[in-house]
Amino acid sequence: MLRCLNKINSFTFIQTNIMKSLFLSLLTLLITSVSVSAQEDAITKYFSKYIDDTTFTSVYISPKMFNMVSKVEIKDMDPEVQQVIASMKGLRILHTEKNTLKYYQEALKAINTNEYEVLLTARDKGENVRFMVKESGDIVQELLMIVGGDKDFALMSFIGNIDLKKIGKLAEALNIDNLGYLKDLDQKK
Amino acid sequence: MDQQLLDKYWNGETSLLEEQDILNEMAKSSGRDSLYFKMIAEARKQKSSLKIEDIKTYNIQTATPQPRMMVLPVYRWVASAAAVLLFAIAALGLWNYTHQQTKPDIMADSFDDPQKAYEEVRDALAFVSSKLNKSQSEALINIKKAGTYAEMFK
Repeated sequence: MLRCLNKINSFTFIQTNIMKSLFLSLLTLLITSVSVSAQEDAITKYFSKYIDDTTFTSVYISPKMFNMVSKVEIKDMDPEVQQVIASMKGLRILHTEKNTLKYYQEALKAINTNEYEVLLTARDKGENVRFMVKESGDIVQELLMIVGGDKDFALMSFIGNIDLKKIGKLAEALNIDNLGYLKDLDQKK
Repeated sequence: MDQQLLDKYWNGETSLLEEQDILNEMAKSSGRDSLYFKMIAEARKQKSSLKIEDIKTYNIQTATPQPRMMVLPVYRWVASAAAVLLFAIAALGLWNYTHQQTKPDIMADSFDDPQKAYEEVRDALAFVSSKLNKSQSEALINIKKAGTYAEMFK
């Protein structure tokens, strides 16, 4: 009788131990999943906030489309551009001409400085340009350009393995400086 | 009162019989120490129902830990079921939450035609490239300026 009781006791002990470890592992799983979802990058949030805003011009090119672009034969494909596009996974652009400075400040606040590192800041005729990069190791994973001035606010995010040198050479290679790009963007819409 | 006998008592050398004699004598007298002996006599009259065995068993009881309260197996199962249910609900809520968050993130592609997408990317890249170069050269100029200022204050 006593032995039987002992057995029951040890059984329940093992059971509670299993329960305890199960509980702990589930808890850690829950916490990690919460923290992972909390780490969703600010830029994505920022884009989704304004993508339906009619005062904004937005462009989104998905990884799927980039895949297609690199597979399908394209007319007048510049080899320099092709090289850059081959390693790119996404492009997001937001542009507006209203409340530009307000949006600029908001965007700067929304960016997590732990994630993004400032590469360059410049001011040209009252227009601020800020380049930021998200790196893992030495590889740039995302290039973020924020333009904020009296006339324009633009946020451009290039995702993929970005080679800054190659991008720097593109303007020369394409023989266009394309500084009127933002204006064209609005006219096309 | 026999002083000799009393001294013997205080020295703890009296026999039980002698002690009884002292108690009997002191019950009658009202001299010094009589109150003390009357109290002892009174205490002797009182009897406890407790036996040595009772005390022993009490000691054993307090020394050995109480056996753990048994929880009915049904309650055990109910408790684990409740825990699982709680986690299921939490997981469902979390899944819903993340799902809701990711929904607006799936943005519609701006272009269906790879050709147009390519042109857009090319233009955007050209824009960034030129901006990057401009900013870079400006930064260089600023560095040079800073250098000359530094020279001035040397």
